[in-house]
Amino acid sequence: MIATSQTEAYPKTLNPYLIWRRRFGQWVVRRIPPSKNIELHLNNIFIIPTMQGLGFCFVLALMFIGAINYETSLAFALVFLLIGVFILAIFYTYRNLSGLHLSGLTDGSVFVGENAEITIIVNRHGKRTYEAIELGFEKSRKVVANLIENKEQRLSLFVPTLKRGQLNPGRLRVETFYPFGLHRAWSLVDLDLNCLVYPIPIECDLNILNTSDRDGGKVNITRGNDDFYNLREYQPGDPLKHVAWKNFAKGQGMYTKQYSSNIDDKIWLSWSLFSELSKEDRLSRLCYCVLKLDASGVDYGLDIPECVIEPNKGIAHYHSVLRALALF
Amino acid sequence: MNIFNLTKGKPKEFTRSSYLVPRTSLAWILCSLVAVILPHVVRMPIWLVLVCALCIIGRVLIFQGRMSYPGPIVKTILVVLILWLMVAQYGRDVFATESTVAILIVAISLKLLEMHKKSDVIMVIYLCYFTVIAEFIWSQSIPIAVYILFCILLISAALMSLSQTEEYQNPFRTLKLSALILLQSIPLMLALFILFPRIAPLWSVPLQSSTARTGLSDSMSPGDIGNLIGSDELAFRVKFNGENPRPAELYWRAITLDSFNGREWSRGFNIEPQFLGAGARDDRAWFQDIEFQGDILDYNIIMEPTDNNWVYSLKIPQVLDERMIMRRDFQVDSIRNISQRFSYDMRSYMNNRLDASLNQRELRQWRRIPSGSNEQSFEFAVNLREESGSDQAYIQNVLAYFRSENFFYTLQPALLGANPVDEFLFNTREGFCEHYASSFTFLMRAVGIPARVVTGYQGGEYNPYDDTLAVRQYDAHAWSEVWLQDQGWVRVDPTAAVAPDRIERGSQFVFQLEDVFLQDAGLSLLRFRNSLFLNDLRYRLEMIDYSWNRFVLNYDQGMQFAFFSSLFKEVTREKIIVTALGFIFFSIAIMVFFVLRKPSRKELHPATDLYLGYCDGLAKQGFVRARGETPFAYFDRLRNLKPAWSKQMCDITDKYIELVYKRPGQLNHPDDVKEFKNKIHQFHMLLY
Repeated sequence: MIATSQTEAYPKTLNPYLIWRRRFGQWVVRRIPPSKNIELHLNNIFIIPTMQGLGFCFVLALMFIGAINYETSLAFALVFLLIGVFILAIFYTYRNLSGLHLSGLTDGSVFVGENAEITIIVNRHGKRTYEAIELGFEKSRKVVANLIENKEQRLSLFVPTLKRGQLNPGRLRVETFYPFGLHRAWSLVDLDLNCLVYPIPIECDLNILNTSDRDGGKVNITRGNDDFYNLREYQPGDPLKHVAWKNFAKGQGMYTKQYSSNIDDKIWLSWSLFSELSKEDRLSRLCYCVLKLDASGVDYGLDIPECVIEPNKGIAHYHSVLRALALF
Repeated sequence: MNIFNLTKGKPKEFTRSSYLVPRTSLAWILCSLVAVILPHVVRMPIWLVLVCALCIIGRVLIFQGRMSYPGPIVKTILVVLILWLMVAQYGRDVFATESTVAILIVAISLKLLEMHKKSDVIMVIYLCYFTVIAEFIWSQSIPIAVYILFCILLISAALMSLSQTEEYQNPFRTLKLSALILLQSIPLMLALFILFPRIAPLWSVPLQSSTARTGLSDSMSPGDIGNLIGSDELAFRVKFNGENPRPAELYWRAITLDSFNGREWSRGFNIEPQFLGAGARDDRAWFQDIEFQGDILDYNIIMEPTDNNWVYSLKIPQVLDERMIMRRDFQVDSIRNISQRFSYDMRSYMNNRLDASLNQRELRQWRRIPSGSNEQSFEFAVNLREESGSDQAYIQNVLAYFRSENFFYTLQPALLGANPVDEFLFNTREGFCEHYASSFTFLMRAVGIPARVVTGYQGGEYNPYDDTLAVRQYDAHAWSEVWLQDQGWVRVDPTAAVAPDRIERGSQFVFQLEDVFLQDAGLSLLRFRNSLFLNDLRYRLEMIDYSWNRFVLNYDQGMQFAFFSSLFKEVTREKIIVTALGFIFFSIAIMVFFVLRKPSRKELHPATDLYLGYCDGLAKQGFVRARGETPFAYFDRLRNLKPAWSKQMCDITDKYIELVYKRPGQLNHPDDVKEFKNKIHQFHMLLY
C-alpha cells in the first residue's frame, strides 16, 4: 500500500530528474521494506559526497598543483594525507549510522489539518557512539539525535496531515554529515507507523439527526440530554464528564450518571443524512456528529456503505466509528 | 485551524542570513587561523599582520554583538584600501609567491568579517588548508612539518565542529577524533607518497627573496668572503659514493670570476651561452678538449637555497643532470633559480687537463687587467717574471714570496684603499683568502699568464654517524686557477702557502680563537663543539636532518624507481601499476579495518566482568568453565574437584547471581560491586 501511494506522489512526467527520483523511490521501497524496528546497516545506508566534499576535492586539486609546481615533497605528503582523510570520512560517516536502531511511535489518531506527532526512538547497542544524526520526514522539520553518553533518545516530529485515512508521511529520512560534512550518509526507512487521520469535522445542524432514526422512532438528541435517569457502575470507556464525581468524592465508588435520553435511544449516523453533499463533505459532517454524540454520551451507530457499526458508546466505539470514516 | 496554511508545503526555514556560527566552531576557526598565519608573519609587512589581527578581533566583537557586520560600503573601502597598500608595498612583485600568500591571508581575515553563511565558514576553513600548505614553500624542516601537522589538526577540528550539534560539542572529543582520523590516514599517505608518480612543474613561479641569504655572491672584493666566516649556516651536504676524499682535496667550485676592475672581481665577458648540459645534443668543441683522467668521484649534494643559479662541484664535473648546464668557464649552473633545497648527483674527475688549447680571443680575455691601478705590483710582477725564467718557476716564486715575507692570514685585516693589491702586497700584508687569491691572480695576469679567481668552499666536516660532509658558510674560500701551456687550467691556492692549516684542518681549527668566527651564529650547537656530549648530539641531529632531506624532501622519480628495482628484478609499467594499486588498496583496507571493527568486548554488567575474571583465574589453574556452563553448574563441578575452595567459590557464585539477576528496577549499590570485587580479589590471592 505504501508502495502505491509513493508512486502516486510523483506524477507521470518526462522530466528525467523526476523519473529518476520515482525509480529511486520504488527501488528504496523494495530494498528497505517497512518494519517496526529497523537497524541501519550496509544494505540500507546510502552515501554520497556533498557539495562541501566536492569543494574539498577541488581545494585538494589546487594544493596538488601547487605541490607539483613548487616541487615540495611535504606538500605532496600533506595532500595525500588529506586524500586519506577524505576517504576515511566515507567510512566514518557510514559508521555514524551503521548499527543504529530506529523505531517509531504515534499517538494513534489525529484529525485532518492537525499535526500528527510521531515519536522516533533511536537507540544504540554496544560502545559505538553516534553524533549529529538528522531525522525528518519530507514535510516535517528536522530534529537532531546525539547518542554519546545516553543509549536512547526520543525525538518528536510533527507531520502535517492533509488527507484522511492512513497517515502517510513518506519515508523517514535519517541522515548524517558527521564527522567532516564531506559526505552525506542517509537512509530512507519506513517504520510502519500506524496513525489514522480522521476527516476534518465540519459543523452541521444536529437536528438533522432527530429525523433520521432508522427504526422510525423519534429521538431528540438536542433535548432531554440533561434528564438524569440513574447511576450505574462505571465502566472503562464511559465519558468522564458523566461520572458521578460527588458520589466518588464521598467514597462511594465510581458511578456513571445515565440520562433519560440515552437509555435506549439509538442514533444511526446514516450515509443518507447528507445526501446533497459530496463524499468528503458528508464524511466531515458525520465526523462532527460523532464528536458531538460522543460528548453527549448517546449511543450511536454508523451506517455507511460497506460498513455498519451497531450503536454503542465509549472510547473504543468512538474510535472504531471514526476509523471507519477515515478509511472510507 | 486553517487547512489552507498547511497545504503550502514545507514549513518555512529560517532565513539564511540568520546563520550563526556556533560558538565552539568560531573558537576553532580563530585558533586555527592564528596558527596558520603565525609562521607567515616573518615574511609579511607589519601593517598586514595588524590588519589580520584587527579582523580577528572584529570577528570576536561581532560574535559578542558589540559590533555589526560591516556594510557594503565599508567592505569596498577596506578591500580597495588594502589592495592599494599591497601594490604599494610589493610593486611589480605583487604576483610573486610571497605576496600572493600574503594576499591570501588578508583575504581570509577579511572574509571573517562577512562570515554569515555556512558556506562562508567552509570557505574560510578550506582557505586555511590551502594557506597552511604554502608554508612548505619556504621551509620543510622537521619542526615546521610537525607544526603544520598541528595546524591541520586544528583546521580539521574546526571543520568537524561544524557538523556537530552545538550542545553536544566537547573540544577534547573533537580534537581526539580529528587526531585519530589523521593518524589513520597515514598508511594511505605513505602508500601514495611512495608510489604516486611525480610530475614535472607545470609552470614556473617567481618566489620573492626579501630575506637576504648568507652566502657567496657573484662578485668578490676584499672582505666579502671574510664576512661569511661569522656564520655557521649550512651551505650544502655531500654524500660520497665510495671512499671519502681528504679535506685538502675538497675545493668546491661555485663561481668563476674573470673580470677585474682593480678592486673587485666579477663575472664579466665570459658568460656567453657556451654551455653544455646533459641534454645538449651538439657537443661543443671546447668540451671535447677536456681530457678526463684519473679517479671518478660520484657524490650527491643537497644544497641549501641560494636564490641564485650556481651549484657546487669538484673539479671537474661531468654534468649528468638535465636540470643543470656547464658554462665555458666550468661553472655549473642550475636552469632554475635555487630557491629551495636542491638535491643533485654529480660525477667529478679528480685529475684532468682542461682546455689544453685556448684561442687568442680567449687568452686575451683571461689576461686582461685594468691599466693605471696597482702599478707597483705590476712592476714587481714583471721583474720577478724576468728573474724566474719560466711560468712555473714564476708561480713558485710568487708563492714563496707569500710564504717568506711577513704575511698574515687573519679574519680582521686592515682596510684597503684605492690600489688594494699594492697596499696588500707591500703595506698591510694581512688578509683573508680573497686577498691572496685576488693579488695572486693579478700578479699572474700582469705577466700575461691567463688566470682567474674561483670562489666556493673548501673542506667541510664529516659526520661520523652517516658519513656525510657538511659544508658551512665559514668554509667559504677563494683561490686561483692559472692556465699553463700543455697543462690547461691548474688550481693554485695561495692561501695554502700562507696558512697550510686552513686547508689541512679547516677554518674551524684556524679561526676558533678569533672573535669574528661564529659571531653571527647565535646559540649554535657548534659553539659547544669542545663538549664531547653536545658535539655528539649535534652530529646526531645533523644526521637526522640529512636523512630527512635526502629521503623525504628529495624523494623523486629516481628514488621511486630504486624502490621498484628493489622489489623486482625487471621493472615494467604493468608491475608498477599493479603494485601501486595493491599498496593503495591494502592501505585503505587497513584504514577501514580500524574504523569499522566492532568494539572488542560487549559492554557487560560490571559484576559479569569481574566474574569472568574469576573464571579466568580458575582456568589458569586448569578448571576451565565449559561453554554454556551456568555459574551454579560450574560451582557444583568444582566443589567436588577442589573442596578447599568451596566456601569462597560458593560465596562468589551466590553473590554474582544476586547482583546480576536482580529484579528489574532494583539497582545495585556501587558498594555491592566493590564488595564483590574484594571477594574475587581475595580468592585470587588464595589461588596463587
